[in-house]
Amino acid sequence: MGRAEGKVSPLRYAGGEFASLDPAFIESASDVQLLLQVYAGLTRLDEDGNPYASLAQSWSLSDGGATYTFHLRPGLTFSDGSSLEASDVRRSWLRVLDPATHATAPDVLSIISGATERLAGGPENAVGIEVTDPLTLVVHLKHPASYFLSIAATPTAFVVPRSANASASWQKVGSFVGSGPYEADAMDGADLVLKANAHYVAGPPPIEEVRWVTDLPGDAVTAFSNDEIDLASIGSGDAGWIAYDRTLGPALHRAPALGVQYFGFDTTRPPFSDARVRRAFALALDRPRLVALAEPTGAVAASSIVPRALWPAGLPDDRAVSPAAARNLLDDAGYADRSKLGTLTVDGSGLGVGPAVATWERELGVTINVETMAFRDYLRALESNPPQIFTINWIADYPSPYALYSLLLLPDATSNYGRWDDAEFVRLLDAASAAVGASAQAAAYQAVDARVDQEAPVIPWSYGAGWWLVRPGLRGLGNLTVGLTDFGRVSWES
Amino acid sequence: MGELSRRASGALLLTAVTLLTLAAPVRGFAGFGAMHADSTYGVQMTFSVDLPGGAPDRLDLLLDFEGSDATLVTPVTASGSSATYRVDTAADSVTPNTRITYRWRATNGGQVSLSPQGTLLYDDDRPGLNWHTARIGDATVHWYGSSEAEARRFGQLTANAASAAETLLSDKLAGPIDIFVYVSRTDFFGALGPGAREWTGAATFPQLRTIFMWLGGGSTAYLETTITHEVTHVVFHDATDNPFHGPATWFNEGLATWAERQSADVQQATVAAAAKSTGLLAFDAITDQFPIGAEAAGLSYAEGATMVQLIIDRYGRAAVASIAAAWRGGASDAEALQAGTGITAEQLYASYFASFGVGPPQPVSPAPIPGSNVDKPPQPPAASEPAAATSATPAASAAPGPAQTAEAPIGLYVGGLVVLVVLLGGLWWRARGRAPAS
Repeated sequence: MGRAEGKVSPLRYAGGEFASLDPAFIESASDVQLLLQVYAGLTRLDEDGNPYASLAQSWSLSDGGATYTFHLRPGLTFSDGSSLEASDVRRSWLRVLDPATHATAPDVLSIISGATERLAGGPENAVGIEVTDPLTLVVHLKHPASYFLSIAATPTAFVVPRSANASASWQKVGSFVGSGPYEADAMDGADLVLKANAHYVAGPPPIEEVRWVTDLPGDAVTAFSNDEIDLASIGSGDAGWIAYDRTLGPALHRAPALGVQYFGFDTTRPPFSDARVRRAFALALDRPRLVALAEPTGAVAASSIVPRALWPAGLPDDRAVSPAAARNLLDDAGYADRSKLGTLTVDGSGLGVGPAVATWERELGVTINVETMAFRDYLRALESNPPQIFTINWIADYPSPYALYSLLLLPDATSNYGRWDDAEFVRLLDAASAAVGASAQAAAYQAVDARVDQEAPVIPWSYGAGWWLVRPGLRGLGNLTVGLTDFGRVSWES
Repeated sequence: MGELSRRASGALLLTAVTLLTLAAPVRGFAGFGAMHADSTYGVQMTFSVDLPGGAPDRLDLLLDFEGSDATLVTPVTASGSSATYRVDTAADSVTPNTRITYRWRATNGGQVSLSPQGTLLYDDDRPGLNWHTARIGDATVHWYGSSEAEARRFGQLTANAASAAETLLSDKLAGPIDIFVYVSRTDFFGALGPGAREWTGAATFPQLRTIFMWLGGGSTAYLETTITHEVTHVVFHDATDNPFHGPATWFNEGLATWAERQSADVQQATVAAAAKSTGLLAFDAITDQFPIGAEAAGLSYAEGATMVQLIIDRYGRAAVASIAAAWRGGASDAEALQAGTGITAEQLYASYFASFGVGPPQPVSPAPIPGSNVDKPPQPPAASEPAAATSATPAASAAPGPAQTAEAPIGLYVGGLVVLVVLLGGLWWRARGRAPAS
């Protein structure tokens, strides 16, 4: 196996604070990026998003594509040298699906038969994950899913050691046991020191040490300019001038828009249990203009909850705008007297809501109170008592439109915070998931998106873009996409 | 005792227990008692409330920070018949002189009730800062140590600066301005919080109507022009404030710099020199943040001031008021500039650069990042080619290797997991109104 040659200087990455070393408890982009360095799954996504065989050596499909049989590589170990077998994969996945674990993103695995029932308290042995021998794992899906190899590569599906329990703090820096290219070796001041894992399935990575900088004394641009860090995400405001800067400009890179910011409605209670009211709020917003005004250098208006890079072919980039029609819809819904709506609450914890709120008040004549919450309080509120209108920024869990539609809008999904329950949507999404061939898939997903647009359980707002400063000499960073930046595949040019 | 009797006995016992329960004093939420709030700068803010009848099902603290359009909601757990919440301002910086209104919200048995509203001024009460205050026209000046004379002078200058800016922008100050005068650099930067750039000598928080000055930031003459600069920011904020779009930074700073002397003669030389040496900055580059280096930052101010001068010279002072009014109405930068000048922003920029004998600056191309040269673990033959587009047709059965494909072209795919609920938008919302101008 060839290794990259070049200086083996540490990679100094302004990764920021992280909340978890446990793939069951992901809270932020920083967590995702870190977990990717210290764990592995059956498959892995390369820097372009293509799944490739990682812990699995090969796989086969049966049952019309609804059953995957994975064959693990012989001799796999965790970073402490203990063996890693098919039973560890099964145990890791069942742990995520165990309702007692309270994992943050268990729905990623809900495509597995029996998984949704298990999350609701059903039996563990009914989950479609079988170990037939130490190196063979059989996974039964609810239906054929062409994207399951990507699901198997997501951090939630990473393989954790046998010491893992339902606590979020069982894994600690210094005594870390993982399966990825690096180990969480030590804290050095505010830096998390990652050391190459000699037992990694692809062999130890060429950069032996990554310094994960959790705190900078100043801003990231200054730190990069002073050669204190090699890689940093920066704000669009600084990107504006750096793009013209002869020194820093060559180091500036734009990552594609891969997330979506959206408004969601609590669809279980009036007035937003009425699709006409939701649709009215969507129709009132001229998103291209409002997003361009609010985020002139960093985002574009969204027309679907699926990020543009994942759009099925032929998805129309249209966003109907008609304040007059919106007002009529509110009238038809019984709110011609707007005071019957009361003071509506919008929680702006997920995005800047000022432009939308001002537009709703002006165009619809409604009264709105804006609230925000700390992140953890907000997550709890979303799960237990969502605001009438909430806001979120999501990035797809795996490269398929299904990831967004299913995790955010299927009735059983824990991240369907608005509790939208639409049988027609479920039928259309099932059909799209099972569609065979590009044109059939595209047509099916267009129908799904049209249904979402019509019923408006959410209002897609914008697709954000990321900006990075990259030290010249680094290679293998791909598109700098969150969830794809695998330091195990990064090296310094010689 | 027969079966029926045992049942009857049980019923009697249940009745007795029920009566005892009903007879006991009811402990439950019965409204709000006394409220209290306090703060120590750089350490904490504390909010407390008495709950004479006990805790409600749910208790929230609602905080409205001056300058923010959103209410920060924090669930609070009561302890007995009271509740206290502490905001750690060492970890989450809050600008001094922020006025906070607070209420408690109880949800009990499905009923929501609000406490009366309280207020707290988060002031800079660090040891050694023995503040004195004087009201001078539209300004309230605050000083400590031996800086009374300078502070009073700043107050007097504020009236002149505000009047000039009001005339230019055809708008009135929405309220009085607080000016805090710091003697030491440490005290000054301690007030600005993390992220303040090193060359900063004064800072304005327009939403708080507050200006922070550092006496060591320059000569007396410099400081006197600086107070004019900062007051102009506050008037400009009042004239352009809207929920849709923040005006271009170069215009805001350029106007404030121009206002220092009602001209940009000094800055003209700076720009002319840069045009002949390092080159000029595109206005698109300084729409949001200014560069971090002092030289480039200085050029940013100079370009802004000379552009304002150009607009006034060619289109008259009324053009500046028209531009501000357009912003206040929700216009983009390009629309606002066109509203004032009658030409497109591109034409305006081109005209500006031509006046210095240069063309519009061009962005720098990023250096390509080479692909990975690190080997993957051995792949099964079918997996060696990246998945192409289209077919999701699964392999018929038991075919070795990953015979099926991804769903669509991948080049730009996001992948890997994310439950990325990056919820900093709310903080942005709060911070939006707090970014200092300098």
